[in-house]
Amino acid sequence: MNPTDLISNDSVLRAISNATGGFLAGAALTMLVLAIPIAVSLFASYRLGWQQSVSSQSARFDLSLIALPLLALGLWAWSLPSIDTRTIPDIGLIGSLPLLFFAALMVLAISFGFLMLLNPAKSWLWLLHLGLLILILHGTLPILYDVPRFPWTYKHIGVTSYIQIHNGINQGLDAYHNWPGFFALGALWTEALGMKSSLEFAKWAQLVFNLLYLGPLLMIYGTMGRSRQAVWVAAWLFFMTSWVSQDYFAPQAFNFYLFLIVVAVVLNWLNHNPQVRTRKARAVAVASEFSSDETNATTISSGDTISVSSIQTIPDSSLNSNEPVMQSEPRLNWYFRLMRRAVQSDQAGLEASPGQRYGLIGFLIVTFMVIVSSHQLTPFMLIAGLTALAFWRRLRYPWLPVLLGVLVVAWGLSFAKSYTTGQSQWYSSLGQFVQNLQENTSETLEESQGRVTASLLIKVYVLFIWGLAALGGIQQMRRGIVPLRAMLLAVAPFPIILLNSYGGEMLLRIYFFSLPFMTMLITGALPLRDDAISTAPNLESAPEFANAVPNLFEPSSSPAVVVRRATNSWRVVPITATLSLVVAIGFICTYTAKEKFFRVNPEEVSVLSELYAKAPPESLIMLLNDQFLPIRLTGNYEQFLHLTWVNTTLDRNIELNKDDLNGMELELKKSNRPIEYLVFSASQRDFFEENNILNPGNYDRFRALLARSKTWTLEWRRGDVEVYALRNPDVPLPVQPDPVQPNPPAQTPAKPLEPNRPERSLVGLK
Amino acid sequence: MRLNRHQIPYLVTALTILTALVVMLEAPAAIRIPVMLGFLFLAPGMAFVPLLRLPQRGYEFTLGVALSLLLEALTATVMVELRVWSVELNLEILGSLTLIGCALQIYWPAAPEEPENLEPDTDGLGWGAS
Repeated sequence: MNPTDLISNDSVLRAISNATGGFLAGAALTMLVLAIPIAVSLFASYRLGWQQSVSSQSARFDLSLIALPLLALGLWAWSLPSIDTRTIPDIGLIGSLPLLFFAALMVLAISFGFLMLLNPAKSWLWLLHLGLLILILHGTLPILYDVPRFPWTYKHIGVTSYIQIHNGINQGLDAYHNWPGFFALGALWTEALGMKSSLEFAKWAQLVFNLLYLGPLLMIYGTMGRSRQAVWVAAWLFFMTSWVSQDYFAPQAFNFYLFLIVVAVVLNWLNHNPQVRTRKARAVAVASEFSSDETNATTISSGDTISVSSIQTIPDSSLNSNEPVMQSEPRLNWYFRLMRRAVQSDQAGLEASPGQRYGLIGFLIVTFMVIVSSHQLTPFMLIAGLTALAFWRRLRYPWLPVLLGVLVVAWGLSFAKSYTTGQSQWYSSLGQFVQNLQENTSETLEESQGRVTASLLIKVYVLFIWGLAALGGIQQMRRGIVPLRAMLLAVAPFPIILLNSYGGEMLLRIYFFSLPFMTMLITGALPLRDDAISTAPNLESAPEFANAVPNLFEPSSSPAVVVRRATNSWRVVPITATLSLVVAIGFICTYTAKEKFFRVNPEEVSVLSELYAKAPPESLIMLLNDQFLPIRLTGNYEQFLHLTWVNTTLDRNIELNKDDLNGMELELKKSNRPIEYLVFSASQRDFFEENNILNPGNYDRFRALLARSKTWTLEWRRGDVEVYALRNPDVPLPVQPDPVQPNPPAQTPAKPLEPNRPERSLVGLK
Repeated sequence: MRLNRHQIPYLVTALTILTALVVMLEAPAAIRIPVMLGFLFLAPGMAFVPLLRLPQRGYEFTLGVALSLLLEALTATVMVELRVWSVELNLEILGSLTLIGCALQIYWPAAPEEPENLEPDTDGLGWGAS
């Protein structure tokens, strides 16, 4: 049975309406097969005492909780060989995934539900589940593909190789050379690992970056979640909703990681919240909650249970006396009420000595310098977030965003000067909200029905996530909790669209940078129970708690305070499993909606690598379309002139013919280049014909024209990839330069990539 | 088995020396890649982050990995901008920084870990604490 039954005829709606018992029967059969190990796991857990309200520290108990994840891992691995990535339907890769893949996800989701029910103390159990989720969702494609995903990954590989070959950069070439941090790091890693090119490891970037995101995400959620479960659930949700695919081998992925690191450090140690989270402070706080004498914490009755959210921590003696939140004003206006609630709701920062804070500030300054030198957009996202925190007094050092802004300006006026002063288009989009929004939401291509459906699904999915986050925030506020920091950081990226459309990708980036905080807000809409705090007169009377929280007790003092972790009803298992599966399927639909064009043909990489290696310098590389070919993938890409013949924005239903061939030959003469190369591949053909850019069959007819031509010669053919060459007799072949140049070439102005645009677009509109 | 904080600088130093040997002896890829990955991900950062004396081991590890990548990116960027690109020199700088950090950790050892400094209701990693 295969979910492709659901997506036949390129129409999800029609396929769902035609859904027969086939899929349902398959699902039922799968559940029947899986029921046996699930039942065994349940029985084992029951026998080992999982029914206790506090989980045991028994190793056998922990081992019983990894049975299902291991089963999920096995099912996933078993499903891999049957995933066909060569024939991806228009709806995306979900049409090629076998039922076993979804069974693996379901088993993992059920297992996570058990974690929610049993709430074990050991972090590694939760980390195991998150690691497996990352592996299944973000590691499947790197394992299946021979080469990196996304054609535009190869430009980054080319820049990295450029640094290896030329031992430096050329700011006049393009924007990448003006923000070289990530590429320099890539070059270092490539050569340190003894590899020739980052092409050898770039395909693993998505898996590695998502694993890297896990650490700082948990640090961030630890400052926001009202319970341990909320922390893990927020992380679980993040990896299932991070579909924008900005985590590939690119500066954005690396800088998003650094963004998370900065936010994690700021929220944990440089937070302005005066509450300090130490065991002793919480114990005294709990005692004072019930004691009639606020200075004497010895009159608590044993067995009292209070909710974490109602704790009123004793104000820190170092608190700023001007802090309005802690003033006991009889009438507080809405701002003070909001701030007081926010302070009470926020998880307290970690205690840090002055030396630790200065060390962390030094750490942040180093991070700022790397961010500023490696990406254009991330500094502004970070400035927006830090400014929002500073404005609402959630940041201990409000000068941090100012410092970052100064570094941005300094870099832009110095090392990136040739780009910032030479490229005027980014000025023109400042403040143009409507224009920037239109560039981000308009569809310029006539896509097939399947991809139109996929695009619609993406929009619905995004609105669903944002709507759920808004609901979660509102739910928490109705309960008297103000998740101010999460709300500020979730909303802070949105105004960035006023600055620039970022090539039509700004909304994607906004979604990406706001997602960590959106998922934390979503937990507010879920029926998670808060951690509860219980008291016990002494250690011996609460042995079941002793093993659960071994580092909390001070046996010599009384009363002892115990944190009892949240427990949920058994219904949390099916609810978690079902919701997780639905969200995960939504993720797969959106993540791989355009996989037909995101997947790169290994033959294309092979042929183009050979082209760039053997073509004489100054050659002209003519592309019918430059969007879905892995071009500029070697370190000498700057030696070639790249021209694009077809305008995918304007051209529709055009017919390439002998006139176009003559035009290309004329272009070679005009550019005074020695050789012109023209690349054909099946992915280009599919793109042109499915988007009605070329007439049906025109691509192959045009290719046949070149094959019959007496002036063009076939240089390379591999699979369905062909490269034809046209020699210019008036220009002698240049001598191949030394591949290793100790001194990079002098700075030259940026070369226009498409000079003398042919009249193709005008012909196409007629 | 929980790693003692005092063991970290010695382990990092050993990893750095091993990495240097792997590079100098031009070890085969099967050895070079895992050793170099370990060094690049962990060594430079874990030479300095423990000096912050963070009680949460998970947080310390996270910041250690981040600082490793930051130092590598910073040194590589500086070399690229100054047009003195050399991977060998870069690794030597990173190795030297790592050894300096480890020396500082050994010279100023951390105080024995106090249970009350550890976050309640966790296994000491810090992750998942709220």
